[in-house]
Amino acid sequence: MNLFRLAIKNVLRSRQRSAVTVSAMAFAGAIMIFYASLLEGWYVAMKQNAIGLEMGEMQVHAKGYRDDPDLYKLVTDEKRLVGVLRKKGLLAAPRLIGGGLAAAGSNSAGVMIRGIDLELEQQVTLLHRHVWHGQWLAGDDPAGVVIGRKLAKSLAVKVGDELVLVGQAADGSMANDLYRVRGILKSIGAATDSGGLIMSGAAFRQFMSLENGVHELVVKRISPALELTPLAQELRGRLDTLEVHTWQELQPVLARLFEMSNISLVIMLLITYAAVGILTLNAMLMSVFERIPEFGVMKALGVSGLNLFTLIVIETLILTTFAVTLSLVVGVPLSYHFSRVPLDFSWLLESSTTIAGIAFEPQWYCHLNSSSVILPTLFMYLVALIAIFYPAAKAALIRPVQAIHHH
Amino acid sequence: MTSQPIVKLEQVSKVFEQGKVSVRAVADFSLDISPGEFTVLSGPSGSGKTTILNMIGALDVPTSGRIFLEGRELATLGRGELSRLRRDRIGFVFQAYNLISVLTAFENAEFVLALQDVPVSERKEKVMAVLSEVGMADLAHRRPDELSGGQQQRIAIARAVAAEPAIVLADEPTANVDSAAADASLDLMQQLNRSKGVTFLFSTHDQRVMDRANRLVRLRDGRLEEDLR
Amino acid sequence: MRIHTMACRSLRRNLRRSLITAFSIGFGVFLAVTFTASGDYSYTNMIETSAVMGLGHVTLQPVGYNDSPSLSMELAEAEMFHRELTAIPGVEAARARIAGQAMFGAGAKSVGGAFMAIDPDQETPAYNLLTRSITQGALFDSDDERGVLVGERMAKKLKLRLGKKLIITVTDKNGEIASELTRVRGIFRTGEHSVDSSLVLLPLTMVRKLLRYGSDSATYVSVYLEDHRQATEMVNYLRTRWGQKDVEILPWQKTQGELAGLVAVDRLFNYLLQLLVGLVIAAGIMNTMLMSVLERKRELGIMMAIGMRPGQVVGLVLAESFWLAVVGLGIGVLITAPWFYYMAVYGIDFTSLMSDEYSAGGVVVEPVMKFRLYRESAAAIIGVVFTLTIAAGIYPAIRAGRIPPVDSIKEI
Repeated sequence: MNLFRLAIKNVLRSRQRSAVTVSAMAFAGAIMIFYASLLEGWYVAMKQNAIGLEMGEMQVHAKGYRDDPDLYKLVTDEKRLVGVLRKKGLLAAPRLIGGGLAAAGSNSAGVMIRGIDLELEQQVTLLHRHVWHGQWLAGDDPAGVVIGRKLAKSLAVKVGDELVLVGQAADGSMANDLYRVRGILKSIGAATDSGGLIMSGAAFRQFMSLENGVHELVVKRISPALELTPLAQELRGRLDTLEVHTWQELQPVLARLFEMSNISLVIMLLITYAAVGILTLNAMLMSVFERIPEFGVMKALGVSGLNLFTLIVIETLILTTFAVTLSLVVGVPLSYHFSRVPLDFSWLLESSTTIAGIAFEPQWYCHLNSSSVILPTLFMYLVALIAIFYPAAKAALIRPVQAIHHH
Repeated sequence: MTSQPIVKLEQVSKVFEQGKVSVRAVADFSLDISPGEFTVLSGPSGSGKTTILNMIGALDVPTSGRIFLEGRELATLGRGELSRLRRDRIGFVFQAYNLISVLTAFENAEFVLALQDVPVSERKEKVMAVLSEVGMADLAHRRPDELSGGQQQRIAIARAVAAEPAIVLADEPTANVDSAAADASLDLMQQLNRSKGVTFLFSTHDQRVMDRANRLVRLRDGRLEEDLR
Repeated sequence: MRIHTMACRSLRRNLRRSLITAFSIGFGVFLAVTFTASGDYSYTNMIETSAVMGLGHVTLQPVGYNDSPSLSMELAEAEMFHRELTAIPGVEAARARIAGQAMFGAGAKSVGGAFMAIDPDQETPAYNLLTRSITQGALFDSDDERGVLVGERMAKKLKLRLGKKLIITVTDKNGEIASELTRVRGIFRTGEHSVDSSLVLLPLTMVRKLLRYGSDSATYVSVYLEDHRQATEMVNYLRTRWGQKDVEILPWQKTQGELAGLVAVDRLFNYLLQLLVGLVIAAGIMNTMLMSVLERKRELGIMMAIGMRPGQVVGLVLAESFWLAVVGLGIGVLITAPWFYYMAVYGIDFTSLMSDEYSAGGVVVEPVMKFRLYRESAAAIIGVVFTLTIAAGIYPAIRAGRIPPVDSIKEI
């Protein structure tokens, strides 16, 4: 007897029951896929905001700069260095950094001034995409600066307002110049929000009277497949006058935070798995246990216990396959949709903010990857098979007469 | 003295469409049933007796013709009114007893009265009376699966008559029980008919049931063959 | 009608699947309590921490100050408000404070930052995170007009130690530059970087003179309530009381908008995740109920044949959902109670894992997971359990109501 054909017949014969079981499982599976991709999206966004927004994956400084930042601790051959890193598969952007005081009207605040390379910076970080009001820097507007959003509030300035910047230049003179707020950034991180001021590298050099060298190189891998830690190790050996730090070394707290978030995401995922597991278990138990009398009839007609067991397994696999297919058909497009159009919570939050120093955007994107599809699928098969094992074995072992009167 | 018939069928026909074939189960059938009758519809399988019972019980509708229950034409009644009619005026004794499995014997017998919202104390009195009449008072607290076929049959009869319906419809009441139990339940129904004047309408091809009828209606191919009083 | 008896017995007859389904409801309750209670705890915690960082649960401030804060704005009758507020029921404490931007110089270095001026006689650690977080030295006393407290990071930047000089430079009420020499009396560490690196605590009387404020003036009066959830209510009351005065009265949601937004978003995220799990559980309930209806097609048909109305059949199935929810809730309470008790009393401390501070929306969050369940949250969970369970029963119930009353008297 062809068990597979019989199984299909059985599934189709109790169409209503099969449809109920399949749709419940499919619904749960679709939610599981959606949920997994939501959590993945959260993690990806957090990582991108923490690393990709401003810090970069790696930073290069002159020796001692990180311990005591100083206008004179410079990386001098930055052009060559960018080329060297490029050959290693790394993109790098030079930055100039200095302190100063910004004043507007009767308000003033201390600021960290950064001069950036407009072209290279865009390749490495996403700062230019995080303008809240106004515009990002432009080469033809050297007096235009972009500032952090809390700084804008404490100076009470809007886009277009003037700003006086005072600082100590590299030659020891008093630097003093007038700038215009060209843009106000969204949340970038705690420090930049409350004291960050960004201008073009050329403008910085002019303001600070600094002709050569940079203070920082931010680095990003071209391909995420590249291993960061050994690369940093190698660079450290070659560039002995410089300091090379990976993002984990720059922000150990953040690195730990990611580990913890990862754990909590796994827990959240396990929770949905448990809920889906219970549903699948119950659905499958019902679909087998309640047909034990029917199986008794089949045994009475001469179907062997082993054949019956196999039949039930095949039926389960057929039902689960229907359910999984349906859940993919619903869950994947749903997740895909929300990976393009985010869930938007901005109506609750007047602007972006920071959590643990990381920029937080009130838009939640799904991130669909292979594991948010494959794992739920495998899981449903697994639970379904575990669930039916006991009732199927029971059906296989029970005597026909008992089975027929079984409830 | 002419009393109004409880059930009146006028030229009732029923055609079942099965794919391209149409089967005429009942053809131009007319019948009056008066209060107190103990009527048996008999005939071979497929002669249309169950269909007639279904239509009288408002479970099925005729293709043509009219059916009246206590003067009300069934076709004019809505779904809710039909529910109420079945609840208040018709008792059913099904072939497979069809007790409600989660309710005890007492609660099954009480079911229709409960649906009618009869006060609890009155309900209890009535049900206990009926149960002792069918000889089941001692087993009132048992569930259907703790009762024998014959005992379940008695509970089913108790449920059918507890609310004092105008007519009790019983489909093949002897088909699923052994002959002793069958005799006992027939005795019971006959006794209820005689002492309380409950009107019964049976469908059967069991000779023992026919023997007890005070009116025997024979059917063949959905048509009235003879009507013996 | 014995609808409830029948419903309960039907559930008991299929004990295994009823229990599995009820267990899944209980599991949902467990999760909902876990997520909601840890949220309620940490939101309360963040709101309280934020309040003691300066602005309180309710803030009285000059009109327009919230949108564009400036030292040129003063709340003239601050001390009067302060005195009267303390007598209002529901108010635990009130504090008059001056806050603004300043430059801080020591030796050759100077940095920009913010200051908060406080009256050392009014302030208590309970309502001031900064005086609570002193790691070295102590709060200046009321006759010490030149004492200051600085944040740890600023102290490091300016190489300050106890007893060292610090020059404060501000623009006064009239827009003129004013400076004052002070001495460091203490150093604090809150854990929030921006606070520790830019905030200085100054004596109120000195700052009043420096800014040329009146002797009863302040920038704002912070009000601390017994329960932060009463903020809006209190604001309404205070507005009617002082509607005539030139003062703006705002709840924390307005003065600490970022935190309020963050709490709202986080709560919504949290609810969304809970809802998704809830939907899975609801699908399971619907599956069970549908199966149970399909199986009882005949029995339900018989009930209708003997006179039960379709509406009553719908009610019967809904009653089953209802009792499933009751049992599920019971199981949920049983499995949640010990866990809840433990988490409410002890909690889980992640300090060792974090080793450094964690902040959100500019507020330090202690790395402890603890539970606290607002009464309204508990009511919401119970409400959602019943709503979802009964909603999941609606379709099966309607299906049951549509079952034809056995189309034949004969066995089908």
